[in-house]
Amino acid sequence: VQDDSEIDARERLARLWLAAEPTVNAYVFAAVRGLHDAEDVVQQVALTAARRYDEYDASRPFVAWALWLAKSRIADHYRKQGRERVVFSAAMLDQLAEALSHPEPERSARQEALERCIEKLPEKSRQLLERRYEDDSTMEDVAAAVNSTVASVRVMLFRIRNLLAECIESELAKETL
Amino acid sequence: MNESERQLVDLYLDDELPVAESAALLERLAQDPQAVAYLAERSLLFTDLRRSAKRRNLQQWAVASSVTPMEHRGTAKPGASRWLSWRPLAAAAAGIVLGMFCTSVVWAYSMNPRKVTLLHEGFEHSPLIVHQAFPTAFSQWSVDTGDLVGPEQGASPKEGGRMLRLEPKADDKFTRAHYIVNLRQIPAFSRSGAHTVQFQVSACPRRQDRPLCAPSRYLLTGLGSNRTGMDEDWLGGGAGSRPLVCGPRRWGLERDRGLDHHDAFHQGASGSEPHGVVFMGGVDGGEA
Repeated sequence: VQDDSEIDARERLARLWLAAEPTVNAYVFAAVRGLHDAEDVVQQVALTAARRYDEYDASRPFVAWALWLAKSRIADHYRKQGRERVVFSAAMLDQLAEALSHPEPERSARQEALERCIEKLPEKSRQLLERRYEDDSTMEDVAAAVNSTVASVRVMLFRIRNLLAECIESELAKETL
Repeated sequence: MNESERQLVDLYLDDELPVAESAALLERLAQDPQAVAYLAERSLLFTDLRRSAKRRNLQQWAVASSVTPMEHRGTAKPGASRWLSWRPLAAAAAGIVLGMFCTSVVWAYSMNPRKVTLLHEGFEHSPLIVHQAFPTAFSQWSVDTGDLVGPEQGASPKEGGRMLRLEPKADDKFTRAHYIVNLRQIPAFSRSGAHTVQFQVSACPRRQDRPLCAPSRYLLTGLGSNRTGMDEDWLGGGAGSRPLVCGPRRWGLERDRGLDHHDAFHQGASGSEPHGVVFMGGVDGGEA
């Protein structure tokens, strides 16, 4: 039987993790090659956060603590890898964590802005994103589906993401006016 | 950063850049704090795009999900103390998708969903492996110590003719039973793309000293293409393990209660390999 304080602690942890998880994802996905490997590392971070939650200092941002835990899990992952690996230095992991430590409300606003920006894209661009991300297809599959070349698809996706990045900044700027 | 380097960052985040070129790119990025900031921003955008895609995919799936009434099977029968009986593990697709601890978004659809029972797993036709920590195949039960039995000593199955009798272990008070559900039996999971399945676990473990359902635990954990892909830490953890893992390949959840809990699992669009869901149940205490 769980007592109320344990249930409260679990709920607090769940709320904090939900807010921090996109940032942890971005951190790990930048530092770990391979979608599945990155997902595994994120899961390890979640496990560690749950196990060590009583060590968390609530006066400090949870996301910073979660990123600190993630740094250790990434280092563990690097150690398990073979010779064929891409490794961030500790200094670069710190720089990356610093760059990602946005205030949480901004993260939420970014996601909402992205949704609005996707709606503004031309239909063809939305379809390309859909094929790439909703179906999680390879570039080769996407290229075959849209009857194009891999190189063209890469360039098109690069441009679409640039448009989205600009649009998000513009949307966020509107909100701060 | 120039345009060419920015394109390389996208290729890197898309996992399209060879290892040697990735390493060279990162070396260059490390010299320039602004480049690291760009990598961070871009990684956020990629993450947000994946999240957005998953949400859209789930919405499409919810709208398209089939609707037929879920069967209700079995009724509780009074049982005597010492024996543990598990009602079948039923798996059903549902139109309601609940976010869990490890998910980043809680989804809910008020589309008046109905359920269709796609699997109805129990003890009636499943073989049992005793003294095995883990089943060796789908649709097979394993138990640390115990047996599949019919009605005996005043206890009877909640439904069907067989129930699982767990017996105390000498070295560990947490006696466990495992079962692997083959998600490939579910038509939606045999296709590629994102899917969600909701599991209902019903059990009423009984102990000699308690007339009502005893405190128990169960876990539902997603399984990748093979067993070696799973974390070992929770397998050996027994009552002390609290796995909170989830994602396209693995999910986990712990419940300390016994009756009728529902858990929803989402299979990511990337999941092309066979998937299973591991059910582990057990009873705390010295005697079950």
